[in-house]
Parts: sequence; C-alpha cells; structure tokens
Amino acid sequence: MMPAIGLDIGSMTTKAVVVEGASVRARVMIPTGSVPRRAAGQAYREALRQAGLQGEPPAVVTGYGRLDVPFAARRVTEITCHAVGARFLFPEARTVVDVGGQDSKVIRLSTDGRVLDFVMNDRCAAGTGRFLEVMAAALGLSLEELGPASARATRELTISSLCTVFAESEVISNLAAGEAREDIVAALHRAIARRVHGLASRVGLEPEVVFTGGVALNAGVVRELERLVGRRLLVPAEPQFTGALGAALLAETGGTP
Amino acid sequence: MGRVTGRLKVDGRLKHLLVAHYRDAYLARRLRRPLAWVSSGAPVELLHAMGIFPVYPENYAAVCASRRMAVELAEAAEAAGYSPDLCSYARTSIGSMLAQRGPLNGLPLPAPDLLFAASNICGVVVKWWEVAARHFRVPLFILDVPFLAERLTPHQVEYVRRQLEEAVAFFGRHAGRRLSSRSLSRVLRLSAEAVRLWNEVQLMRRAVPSPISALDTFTNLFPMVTLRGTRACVGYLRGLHREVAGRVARGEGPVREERYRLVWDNIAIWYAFGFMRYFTERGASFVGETYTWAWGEYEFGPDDLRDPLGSLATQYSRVILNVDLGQRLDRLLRMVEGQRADGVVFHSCRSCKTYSLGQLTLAREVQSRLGVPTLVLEADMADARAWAEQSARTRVDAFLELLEGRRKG
Repeated sequence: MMPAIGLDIGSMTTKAVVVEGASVRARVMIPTGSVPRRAAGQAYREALRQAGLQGEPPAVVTGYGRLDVPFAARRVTEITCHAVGARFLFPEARTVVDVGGQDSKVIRLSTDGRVLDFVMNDRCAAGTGRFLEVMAAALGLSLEELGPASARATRELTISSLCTVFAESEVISNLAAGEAREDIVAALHRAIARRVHGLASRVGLEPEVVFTGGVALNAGVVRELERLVGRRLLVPAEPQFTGALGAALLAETGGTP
Repeated sequence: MGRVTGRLKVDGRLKHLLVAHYRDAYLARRLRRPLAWVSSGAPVELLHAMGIFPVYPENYAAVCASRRMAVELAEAAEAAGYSPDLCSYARTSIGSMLAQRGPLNGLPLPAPDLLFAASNICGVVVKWWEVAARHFRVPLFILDVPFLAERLTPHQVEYVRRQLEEAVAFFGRHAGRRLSSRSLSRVLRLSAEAVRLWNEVQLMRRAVPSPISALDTFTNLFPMVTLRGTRACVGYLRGLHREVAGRVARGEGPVREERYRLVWDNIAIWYAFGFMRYFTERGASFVGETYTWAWGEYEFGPDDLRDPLGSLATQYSRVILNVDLGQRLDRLLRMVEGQRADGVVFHSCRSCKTYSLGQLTLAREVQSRLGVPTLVLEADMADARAWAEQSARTRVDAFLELLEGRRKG
C-alpha cells in the first residue's frame, strides 16, 4: 500500500501523520500560529521528510483550519477523522470523547465504526484545553505540571463557575485564601470533567469509551472523567494525533468515512 | 437527476403582498379601520370577520431580523432593563416600540387600537402584550388556552369557546364592529381553502427531487401567517401551488443532485438565509419543517361552520406549541416517514424555550424508532449574537459525512 498523509489543523497545534499499511511512519506537531496554511505546509513537508518520502502524496485535511489549506486533496471534518482514528487504535471503541484546544466533542459509533451521532461544544471555553491553559497561567504552572500536581491533592475544593473568566477569579481568590495549588488544580479537573461528562451524556456513553485530544494527556482530567463515567477510559499513547491519524487513514483508503 | 431551479417566480408577488400589507397597516388609522396586534396563535379569523386589521409583532420581528435590525432593537430593549434571556422577538418588538424605529421606512409597527394574544404558543406573549397595553394605553384581550396533554376534553373546548364569545363582545365594544355569522363563515372558508392549498404544497415535497426547500417555505409562510382568511392569501397560494406542481411534473428542484432529504424543527434563523443555502449547495433539500407545517393544522371542514367558535376553540388548542411531547413526536415521525426524509435538523432556539425544550428527547426517539440521524444546531431566530455560522457549517459538514457513510454503508 502507498504511504498516505493526514493533517489536522487545530486551533492551537497542527498535526501531520504519515501511515503505510497498518503502521505510522511519521508524525509531526507544530504550533498553528496565525496562518493555518503556512503551518499546514510546514507540517506536511516535515512529515514527508521524516518518513523519507519523495513526491507529494495527496493529503486529507481536517481540523478548524481545513478550509484554509489550498493543497488539500480532500477536506473531512474532525468528527469523521477522530472516529476513524480512534476506531483504528481501539476497534472496540463505541464512544469517542475528544477535548482539544478550543472545542470538545463526543461521537457515538456503531459496532462497525460508523458515526451514529455526535455533539460539539464550540461556543464556550469551559470544557476545552483553553480552560486549562488559562488556569495554569493563573496558578503559575505549566500545562504539563497540572496532571501530576492534582495527584498530590489532599482536600476537596469546588470550582463552581462554568465560565472560564469567572473560574479564573475563583482560582485567584482560592489562592488568596491560602488553599493549596494542588487542591485547586484537582478542583479544576473536576470542573472540566463535569462539563465534558454533561456533553457526553447527551449522546450516551456506550462502552468502550476512547478519550482523545491534547487534554487526554492530563492524567488528572482522565481520572476525574473516569470517576464520572464509572469505568476506565481508553487513552491512546499520543491522543493529540488521533484526528490526523484518521485523516491519514482516509487518505490511504481513498474511501469515504 | 433533477434540473436546478432558483427562487420561485411567485416570490416577486410575495414581496408585493408584504409591502401592501404593511402599507395598509400604516394607513389603517387614516382609513378609520381599527388595527389590532395579534399573536401568531390567536384565532385571527374573528378579526378579519369583524373588519379589524391584524398585524403580527412576531412577523414584524422576523422582518427586523431578516433586515439585520433585530439586534440593535433588542439592545434598545435591554438598555431599558429587559433581560437578554427574554425571547428575541419580544425584545425586538419592545425595542422598536421604545426607540420608535424599525426596518420599514424607518417606522416601528403602527400603534394598535387593541391587542389580542393567545397563550397557546408561550407565556411570553402574554407579558409582552401586557407591556404593549401599558405602553399604548389600549385594551388587551388574552385568550387563555389550556395546555393539551394527551387529548382535548369537551370542557377545555367549552372554556375556550366561551372566551371567544367574550372576545367578540370585547372587539365590538372597543372597535365598534359587530360579528355577522355570514362574514365569519366566509372568512373560515377562505382560511380552510388556504390551509388546503398550503398542505398540498407541503405534500408535493415528497417528490424526488423535492421541488422546493426550506428557504422557499420560510419565505412563503408570510401570507399563511399574516393573511390567512383573506382572498389575497388564497390567490397567492393558488399561484404557489401551480408553480410547485409544475416543478414536480418537470422533475425540478433547488438542488443539483439531491443526495440528502432533511426535516427542520423549530423557527427559521431569519438572519442566516445564506446558511440555509449552504445545505442546498451541498445536495441537501429540506422536505418539511415542523414550523411551516404548523400553519397547515387549522383545518375547517364544512361541519365546522355550524359551530364556528367551537371549531376555532378546537383548532387553536391543537397548535404545535400547545401539545405534549408525545403528540409533537407523532407529528414529527409522520413527517419524516411521509416525506421520505433521511435526517432531522433541530434548531435549538435560544429564545423559544417552548419549542426547544424536549428536542433532545425528540432526537433520541427519531434515532431509535426510525434509525434516522439527527443534528442539533444552537442559534436564535432573531438575535444574531447567539449564532456562530462557521462552527455550524462544520457541524453540517460532519452530519452530511455521517449521512454519506450511511448511503455507502
């Protein structure tokens, strides 16, 4: 089978994946910046270089920036690509929860992997990666530090606001009141997990549930979401590449979702 | 494959009708014709029969929205203290009242001589009409229509019928007009004829390809809402009927290659007609809308003429927003099956709580009973601040990919 490439132009990062047969030959992630088409071109070339490929294989492009990529052979929505990617990694997947930089979505799949239903939250930053970024900045932590920090929490606090701006001021007043950062981080994880769980409940949480997107790298959010769902979630080793992987698989088969 | 057809030719006459209707409304005072503001679920036939000129603040708000003026009018109402969580039709109308401006030659809706609202569409209209009554210092009649759970009982009909008798006396007192049974029969016959034509047009959309899409029915709804019970309405609908039948005969429709047939639930997004064309461009036709269908539910048979007020009481109790979810589901399922639809798009309308509550249940039932996929879009019928078109387009793309997967699957 010919190698194929998929690109996922997200709001924060652009991902490229090259697949051949059932194996991934290269993957690249760079910041999207303000010009999606430039990031797309760069990720495309870099992924081909890493895979040691000549020529210009047609790319399937997904993500919010997909319309801005002139060299796209085909544009497919994130919904379809995440479904294809998640199902490839976990054939038993029936629900895909994706929490990215600026949106979150939940997809329900049939036993044969078709998309049956989906819901998206793209109106509000609560329940997205952006929420965690804002909170990490307020706490003086990096995004990567959030997961491990929450594991050290000892006291159950509650962040009640659903609005990112107001939740940030709750964080600041908690800090001012002398609450431990670890406890605040854990409370934030519960807040985002509640939000995502609420969204997921609208389409139903049929097992197995796969958790994708950059936020799935945060063990604290995974733990809180698992508690709400009441079962283990399947998290890919590199969850933020699931959409690009799906796009590459669609490019490879040339088929429809 | 069908041939592509653009806008309906009758649309030209429609614009004329709309202009004439509002011109007459502005002239009513000079012509010494009493003018009433009426809610969309009120039995307007009584007003026509008594020579009272009806205008619809809801329709006027939709006109404001389609001419991109609703937001600034809503903001005027919000500045006066009305909550942004209130219905955007109400805010647009109240804002226009307070700011004394609007989209038709800069004019607000002409001041009413009396007000007539029915509680069968929501609770907001009652308060909204009360605001108007205080603002204009004119008499208000509220028709209280009990919510219809499962079935209509004789005492419910009687309760509404007696209020209609009171309404007739009230209009007589305040507008100086009397109701003759002959003119009421004439208006009901015209209303019934309009409904018959409208329903036939709707059923013609069962054809493949569908001869018209949502954009056509949302636009052509105007005479059904505003002029129902008049000769002008019947005349217009005959033309519409003829043109749509011609399209069906020639296999014409608005979509180049009809790949998907959809049903729309809830009010139109009046400021986003470009978004509706996005469906058409991608091969998706709307073959029915619960909203435009609702005006086909006022069916008056020959028997109804014997007890016209009782018949009005019955008809206006059964309107879509006055019945329980089970009945709404039945109507929706019938439409999806009857019109051969393969997807349902639910507009979750921020303003219209009555219409939007329960949509998730309806969606789940449509999926499980018919195996038909559904999509929910969040918007508002008049307030463009609640609308994000780009993300809505992504959802539509994803939904059409899902439908495409089923076609292949």
